[in-house]
Amino acid sequence: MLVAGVDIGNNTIEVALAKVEENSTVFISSGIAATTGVKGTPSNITGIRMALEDALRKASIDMRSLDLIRLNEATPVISDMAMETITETIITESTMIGHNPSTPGGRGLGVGKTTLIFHLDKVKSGEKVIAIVPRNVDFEDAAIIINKAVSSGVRVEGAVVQKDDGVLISNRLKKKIPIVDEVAYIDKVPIGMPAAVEVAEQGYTIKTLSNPYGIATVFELSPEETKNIVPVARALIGNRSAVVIRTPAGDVQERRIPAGSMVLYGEKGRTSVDLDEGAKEVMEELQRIYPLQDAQGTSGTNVGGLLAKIRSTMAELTGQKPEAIKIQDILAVDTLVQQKVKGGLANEFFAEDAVGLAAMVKSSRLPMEKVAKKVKEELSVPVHIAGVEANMAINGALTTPGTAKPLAVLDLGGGSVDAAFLTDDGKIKTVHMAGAGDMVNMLMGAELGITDKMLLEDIKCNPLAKVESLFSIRLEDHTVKFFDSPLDPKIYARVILLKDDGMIPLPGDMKLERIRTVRRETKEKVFVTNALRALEQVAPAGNIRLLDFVVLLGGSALDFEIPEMISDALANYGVVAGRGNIRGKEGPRNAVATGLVLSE
Amino acid sequence: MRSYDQIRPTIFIYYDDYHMIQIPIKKVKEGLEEEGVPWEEKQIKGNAQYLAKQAAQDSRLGIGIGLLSDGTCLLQHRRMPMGNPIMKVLAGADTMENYRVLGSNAARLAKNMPLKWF
Repeated sequence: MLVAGVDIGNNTIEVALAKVEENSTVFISSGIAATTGVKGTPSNITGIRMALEDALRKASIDMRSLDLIRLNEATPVISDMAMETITETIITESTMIGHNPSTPGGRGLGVGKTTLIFHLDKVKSGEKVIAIVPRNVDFEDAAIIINKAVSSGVRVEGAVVQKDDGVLISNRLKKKIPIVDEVAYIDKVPIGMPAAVEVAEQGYTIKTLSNPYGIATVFELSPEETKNIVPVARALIGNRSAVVIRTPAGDVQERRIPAGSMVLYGEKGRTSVDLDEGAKEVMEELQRIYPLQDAQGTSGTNVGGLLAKIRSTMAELTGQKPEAIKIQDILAVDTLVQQKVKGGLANEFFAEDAVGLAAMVKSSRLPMEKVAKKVKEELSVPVHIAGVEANMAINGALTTPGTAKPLAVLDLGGGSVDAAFLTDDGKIKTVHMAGAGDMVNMLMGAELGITDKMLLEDIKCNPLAKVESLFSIRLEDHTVKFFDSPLDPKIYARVILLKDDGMIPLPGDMKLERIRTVRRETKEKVFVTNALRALEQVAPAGNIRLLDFVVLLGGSALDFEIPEMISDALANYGVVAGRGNIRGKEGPRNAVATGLVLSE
Repeated sequence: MRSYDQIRPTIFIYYDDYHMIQIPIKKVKEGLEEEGVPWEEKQIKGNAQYLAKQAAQDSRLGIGIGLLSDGTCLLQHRRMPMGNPIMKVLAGADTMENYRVLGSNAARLAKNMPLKWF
């Protein structure tokens, strides 16, 4: 009898094809296709057909020879996520410019009144000014005008330039002054206000304007005013050049957005936790009342909106009323979000605090019967719904060489991390945790300031390298690789992704080390946290140490570093963990499909 | 032959007729100056590809710029094949600023910084 096991997952549909006889099962081939539509809905049929055809083609078998299709009873777990920033930096009335043009001009600190370069001839002798040079002034003219003003006694102490002309102007000045260039919104610089321009020596960062007392000295501030200037100084730390302008009402504010609080209803009571206190606090409170029965956010606050959004998405997917949706797990993660500063003059970005939240909902049983009926009609093959997903996953996982009962599996997916534990006497316990691959993408995107979803997926799945010359790249592990033919000059000196089909340059001037750190930390925060949480739930007596073997399954187990991170974390508990190898050849994929074929 | 200590690491600019290329070369040099990389220039005979390639061969940095009297400008590297310049500005360029970008890129090549593209 020719049997096909079909596993409908959130992102992929997997097929295992086998010849099942009285007392032997011989696997023939496997197939895979992307899930069409939402898991457990009749629109899956297209994907099912494609995955089946993929497997059948590999075995050169016709669809008509198929005797039986076994579908899994898909676990009705859907997860969603959202993120809210809880701080916000606003610059009012343009008080500062803090950015790092690659080539500022001159050195040192200059203080004076902001004056348009066209008006330098009207300035009285002896007065201190900062020249403002807009785009339409050529660098040679700018230098001539400044030199003329200086020779007539005007003390030009510094300059702010719109174009990338800082060094060119500086080289043509008789008296050297600090020059900050590439200031995009120079028209927003207020004129006639006291200002300070600072440029540090190459390889150094500014000293005066990044120090609140430095700014206080420059502008002769009172202690009260000095307090207000602290965010400005803080924002400028680490820059090679900066401008601070003192306007009467000018200010940089770091505002804390009231994030609101969340009420968690658990089996062991209810608790309320303020999101402001950070993700750690949320997770500790959750732990206290676990298992979670529902969560509510204060309406009108960020967290309220966040949970409402998740609820309505879920309601839409499952066709239930939003009130009927019960949130059964949440994962909160602290993160930083790159956000453009409101009111900035040179496209400044600050890293704002944020909390990312994933939530998981168990809806009523997905209408698998409908899917089964549809498959039967379309393919004219008998269809069986054969058992719970987790049990099938364990059945499949046991085909990994070197495994034995009792066994725990961790299914690392796109939306959730699922764990199942099979005891010696055949009992199975399962649990689902919110947050997996998709959440990693969301957090990385926020922290790196990338919105392109494809690019984020690529960053998650591929190692980085830096192009060091036209013929060589340096990889993440600091080894160097040489090429016979020259690389594309477009990727010269850039950070690239090493994909199978080529090298993809990353936008902006992000540092390799930073991207790598963000990528690895995000994976740890989501996958390692959830792996431990999930295993604690299924382990005997809630003790991970009592587990012997953990087999990692699912698409994210194919990742080039997640399995190692989890193995590493579990090694501390004396647990053997590793990537599954279904039937000794499929790797971590196809476990459920294989389990379905073996079921009965 | 110059003695060893006289050879500075610089980017070389070779052109075939100084009088024809005054504006483009001024722009190229602006790009180099803003990035703070030194250069030397010389008049020799040849086509654009040859000028650029020869400049790159002779430069201690291995980076050369060839500027032909009709305004064609090529950026070359010692190890790049002759017919494969890193960047080019064609005769009758849309804007003179493109020459400055080429100058900046020559310097950025020397400084190991990502290039700019127009």
